[in-house]
Amino acid sequence: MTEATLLVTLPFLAALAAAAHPRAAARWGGAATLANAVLAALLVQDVLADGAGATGIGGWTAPLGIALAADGLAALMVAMTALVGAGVALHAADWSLRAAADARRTRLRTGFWPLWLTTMGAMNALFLSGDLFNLYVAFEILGLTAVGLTALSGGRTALRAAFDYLGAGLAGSLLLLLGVALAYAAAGRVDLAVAGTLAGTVEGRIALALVLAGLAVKAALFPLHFWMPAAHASATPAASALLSALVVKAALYVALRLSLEAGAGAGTLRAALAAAGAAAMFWGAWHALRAERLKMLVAHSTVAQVGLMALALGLSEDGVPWQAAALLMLSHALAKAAMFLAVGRIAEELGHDRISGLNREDLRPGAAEFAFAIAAISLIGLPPSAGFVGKWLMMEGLIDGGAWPWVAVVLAGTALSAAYLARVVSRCLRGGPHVAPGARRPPWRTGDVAALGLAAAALALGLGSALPLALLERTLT
Amino acid sequence: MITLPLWLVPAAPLALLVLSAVPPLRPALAALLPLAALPALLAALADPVPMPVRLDWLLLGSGFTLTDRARAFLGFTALLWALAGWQAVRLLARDPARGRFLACFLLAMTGNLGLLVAEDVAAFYTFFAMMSLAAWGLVLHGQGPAQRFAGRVYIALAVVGEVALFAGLALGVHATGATEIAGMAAPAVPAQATALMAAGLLVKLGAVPLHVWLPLAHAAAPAPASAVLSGATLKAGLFGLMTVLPLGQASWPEAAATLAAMALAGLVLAPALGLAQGDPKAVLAYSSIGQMSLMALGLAAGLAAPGAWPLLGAALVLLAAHHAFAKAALFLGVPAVWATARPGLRAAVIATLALPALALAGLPGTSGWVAKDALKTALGGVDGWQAWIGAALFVASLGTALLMLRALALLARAEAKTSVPADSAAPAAVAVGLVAAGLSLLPVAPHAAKAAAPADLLPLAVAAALAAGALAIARLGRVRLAPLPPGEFLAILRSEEPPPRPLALPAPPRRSRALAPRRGRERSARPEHGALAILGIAAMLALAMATLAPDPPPVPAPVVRTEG
Amino acid sequence: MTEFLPLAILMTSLGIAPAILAMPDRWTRVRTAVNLAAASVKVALVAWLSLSVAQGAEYAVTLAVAPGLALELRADALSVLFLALSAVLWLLTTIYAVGYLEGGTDRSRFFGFFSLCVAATVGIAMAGNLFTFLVFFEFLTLATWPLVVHRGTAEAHRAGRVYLAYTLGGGLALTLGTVWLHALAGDVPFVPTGVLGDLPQSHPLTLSAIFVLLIAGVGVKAAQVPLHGWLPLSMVAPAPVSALLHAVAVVKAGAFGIMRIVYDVYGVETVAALGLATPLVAVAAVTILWGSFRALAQDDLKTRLAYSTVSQVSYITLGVALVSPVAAVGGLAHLIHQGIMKITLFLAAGNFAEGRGVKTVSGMDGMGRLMPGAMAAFTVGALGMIGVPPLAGFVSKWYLGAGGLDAGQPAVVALLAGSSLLNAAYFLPILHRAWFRDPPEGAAPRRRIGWMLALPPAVTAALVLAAGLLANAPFSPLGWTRFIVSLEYL
Repeated sequence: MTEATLLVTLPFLAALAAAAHPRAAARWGGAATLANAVLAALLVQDVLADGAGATGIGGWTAPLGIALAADGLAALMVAMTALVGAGVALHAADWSLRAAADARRTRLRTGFWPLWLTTMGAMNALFLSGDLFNLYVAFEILGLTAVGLTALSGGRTALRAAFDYLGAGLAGSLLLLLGVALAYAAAGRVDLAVAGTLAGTVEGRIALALVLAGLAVKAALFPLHFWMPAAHASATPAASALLSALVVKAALYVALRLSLEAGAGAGTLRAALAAAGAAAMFWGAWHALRAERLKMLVAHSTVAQVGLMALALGLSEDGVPWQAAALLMLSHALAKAAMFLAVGRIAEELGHDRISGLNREDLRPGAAEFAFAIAAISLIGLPPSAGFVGKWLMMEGLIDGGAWPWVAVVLAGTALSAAYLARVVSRCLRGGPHVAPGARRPPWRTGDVAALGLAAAALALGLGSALPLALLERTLT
Repeated sequence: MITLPLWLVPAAPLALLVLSAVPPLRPALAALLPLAALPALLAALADPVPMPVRLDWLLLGSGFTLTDRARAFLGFTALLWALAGWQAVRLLARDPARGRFLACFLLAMTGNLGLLVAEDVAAFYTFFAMMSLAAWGLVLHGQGPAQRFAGRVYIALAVVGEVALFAGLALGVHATGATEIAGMAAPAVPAQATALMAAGLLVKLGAVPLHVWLPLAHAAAPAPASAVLSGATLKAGLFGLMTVLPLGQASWPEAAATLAAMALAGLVLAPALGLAQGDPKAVLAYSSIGQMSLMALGLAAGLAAPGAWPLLGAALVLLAAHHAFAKAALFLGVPAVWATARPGLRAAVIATLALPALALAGLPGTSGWVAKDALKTALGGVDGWQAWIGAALFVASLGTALLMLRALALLARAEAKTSVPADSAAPAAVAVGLVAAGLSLLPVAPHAAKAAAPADLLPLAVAAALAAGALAIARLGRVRLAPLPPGEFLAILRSEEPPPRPLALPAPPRRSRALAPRRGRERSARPEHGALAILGIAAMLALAMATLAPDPPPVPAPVVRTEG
Repeated sequence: MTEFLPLAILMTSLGIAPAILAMPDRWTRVRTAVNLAAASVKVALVAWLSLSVAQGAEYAVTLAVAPGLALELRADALSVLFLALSAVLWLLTTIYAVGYLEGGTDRSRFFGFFSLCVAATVGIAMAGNLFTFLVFFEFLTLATWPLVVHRGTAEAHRAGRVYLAYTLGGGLALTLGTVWLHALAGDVPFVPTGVLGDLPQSHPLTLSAIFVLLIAGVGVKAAQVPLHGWLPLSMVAPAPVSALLHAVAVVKAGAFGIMRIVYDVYGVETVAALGLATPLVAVAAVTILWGSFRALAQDDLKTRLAYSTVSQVSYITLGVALVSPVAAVGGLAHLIHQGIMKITLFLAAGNFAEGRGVKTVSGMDGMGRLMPGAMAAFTVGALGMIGVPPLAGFVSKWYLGAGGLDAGQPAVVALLAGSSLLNAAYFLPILHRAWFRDPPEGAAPRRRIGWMLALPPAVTAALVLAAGLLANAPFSPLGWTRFIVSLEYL
């Protein structure tokens, strides 16, 4: 289990190095991302071969020490981070290297890599940590780097959004900390397995509720999502992709862990989660339908998708297998990252990201548009994407459990997501009078490969769902 | 003698048609047109009768066979098509749309000849439809308003007839399990099936009130086409009826009464309406209605008295053959009249045409007299009909005689058309010759000749007297008869096309909205409405059914999933 | 070998699509060569497959997606029927499309999605279970959308939105039904005479609800009234797309889905026992009449043809829903027959629009003289649609009529008769105008129609004639459907 230790430590060290040598930041970042990907692959292989394992750092064990636990779910999330990270890093490297004279890009080049590497380390730590306190610490690091990523583009809106984000993140952290403290008071332990006993007592349930509220803020779950669209929409493409695809997943991952452990006692909380999730699906979809800017649309789509995942968690008593939520998270990470990268490319080429203007230009960033379309397939949950398999598992569980109203909600959410994503894709299918015959087609770039690759991976993952599901079978509960 | 494969009968005109798709061959093929019917004629005259052919790969498994009755029909049909083809080639030599006409002509010929030799239902129906639809092209050929109107009426009735025939055949085949067309007369065929088949075929036969297409189409089509329409395709209807009706098997009084009523109506109406026509071809067409009604009367008698059918059948074949030749000679003679401008010559032509006209009217000694006499004798064997059958036959003969006089009178006054080549008269002359030669040429059952009674001349005499009287009244009283518009009661439906508007605006767009919501123009499109509507319907349905379902608690869950 | 052939057939269209999509527009020759080569190879492979399947060989490829879920490609007799149709017509339509889009924009995108569309059709044809069918069915929706909006006009986009809304909505219903059935019965492979076993006795109402969902899902694509609204609108697409949509891909996929669900999931006896056959017959009957009725009033040629499709495709449903092997032969044969007839009509209509700029029925005057070849093909197709013997449509109608009687529903004969009358009423005026009226003065000057546009309709018209005239010959569509039906009705 040395991979787990390395996964946690290496990114932080690389981040330090990148901060220390801004000129070599991209190289450090690229190398560390690559190494992280290799380590993640090794970890997956280990877990598949040997099952779950735990290791302590510094020799201390629970309840006090920093314990790293690598089971199937954690390995999957680490792999997800590595894969998405690799794609985003490829894009960022390409983007920042190309126009070195641009001040914004210089800042991105120097500032992005340390932030990204820290984010990666924090995420790995979060996924691999075995107790609530470690989770809290990882969350704090993650929250700060995420704010940094938001502010990176340096515009006024970005700064304001980052400030909002900071405030919301701090509020969430406070709630989380309060919850963890209460949990410690109630049960005397802070490892994740404590959740099952917490549900038994009043204090424990309050602690769980507080933790959940904190997570809801961090995951931008309706109605606590207010900070998120602006933050995600105003950041640079690479940062948006990371924020929307990965950072949000951290909170959802913890919620999933807690849901796995909490057992039958948390019925009310589950109901609340489900209700919030359903509301988020409709709220996000409604705003995405009305969005005028492309990035806004994609950000609101994240609100809706987070709602779907929360719904899957909330309904786990109604028959939804928890694997469905994990699969949805994975699919959303890949697809949303691809989508933000594609949107970034489109906006860069057109000089704006107004949806109504998408089909009025003589420019045709075909590869990015194609990536967007493929990512949309996954987000809608059409076959053969992983999103589809996730929805399939979810619906089959709901039908088995006879929860018909929720089936209707899931289907309605699917229809709505198809509607708002089709707004964009249909405008990408240009032709006819709007476009001059000599429409310019920007040349291929390495960054396009990242977007296309991530989108294609999200699509192909559906066909290969057997692998993540096999991994998830090796989860400790 | 080499035995002739029967499939060659329809294949010959079809081959000609296919080859005419190659432009350089067209002039040569046009010259060959009359010969397309040659295999059919040879088959009809061959001795021994050609063997049946079975072609399993064709359609639903088809065959060709030649029955005795079909032999007789095939003989005169083939001759008529050959003569008409000959005239068509001459008459339309300079018509720009000649290729189109000849294609339709060949197709109709294929259908008409083919249906006579078809053994199975599918082939019969195929050839029948081919004939009907191709004849539409013959009717429409002139492209004028009259042709359009006639074409519309014709195709409407023809399609309805086809469909009725299809339904009847389908019912019949299902009831009997037989696929031979001859099997459609079996007792196992339900009455509705027979009625539907008969309805389809009666349209073709031109029985009142399904006859409305007939005068229009015959008047509108070019003369050679009218000749085959009247001489051959009407007989195809008769042939079909003789095949599918359960004649000579059991008495079916209701059907007989219906058919007889239609026939009698035709006998009375045809001269009444025909006399008021101003176009000689229309008059000839009404006379066809009268004659076909006579044949329908024979069929009705066959239905009423199965015992009389053998005689009746033979008489009907005789009558059909006679009418085919005589009417074709008259129609083919119309261009001959047009081609002659000099009064003397024209008088000679009219005099020549008087022979088939008189034959139709039943002048003793002619084929018409022989045929009518045969029918009369046969009808005499039907119990209960003797009381009025004589009167009916008298009316028929009188009507025909009057119509013939009217037709000849109109022809004599017809304006000469310089565009008609003189040699288009030759086929008419041959046809008249055939009428003169009587029925001896053909493989039809001979009828014992009988001495002509003076009474047989009575209808002709009365007709002549009436005509003379009418003429006198018209002259003295200065009465002029305004010809009826063609189309009888359908004439009210006939509308001239409005002139094209100089600046036609496009029609307002009509959108399909099954489930797509109607939306105002200012609102942006929200396609999810449609999806939601579908989903909503499906979901409500599913939910309603799910909640209604009193499914017992599922027996040991049949889920085969293996996951945890 | 058992795995190679289905995969190869799929990859001949799926594999080349990315390459074509990535090509620059100006590589016309390379693109055409790749397209035609792939289409020809596919025809050859399908021919090979048909011969092998006729001799009893079995082909299957399976890919496990998740526990209890597997993608399975399998070639049985019914697959081969649909495969043969799509392979042959794809080749012809590709030739036509190359000619049609000469000089147009976005050709790489067009042909890329064109290939994807056929790949989806092939996948639907070879789907071995309901899950696989669903996957390719949705794939088809997405692959066709860019083709529908190819022209990029506002009208095209509106049509595209409606198309997407309908088909995705239908897809959701299908998904729900599939998931439900999967939850109830586990994996749902396609097996002749059905796979449900004892379930119909224990869960009759649930299974009925699932049936309604499934049929509603595929019924959207099959344009069953009242789910047909997208079809006439999507006529804004270029002619080859309309042809493909109507003859092979979308509409046929829906009809094929109805077949699979009725025959191979439920089994026709079960459908009848659940009391679902008669409602399905009623839906088909209403669709047949309504489609024909609406077609009467359309002046736009392609819209008229579209409504005609609505009507004609329901013959297939009718044949499937009538519980009679004879009707089944008619319905299945009509899958092929309608395909070749309708593609003839659309390709010819495309030629009128290209050669003379004629897009309306009222503009068809004198077309027989202006473009005799295309008009002759159109005539053959139209007469076939009416059901005039000896063309293909007659054979289907004959078997459907006989099947209706066989199933004890003589009203079907009346329905067919009424529909034939309506068909004649909206097709014959076109023929009249084209052949028996003079072309308008000052008609638009003729544009050259190359062999790529002229050949495909001629070939399909010849096929229409051959399918009817040689219906009883071995390897005719009719002969093959009899073979299938002998498997479905044991």
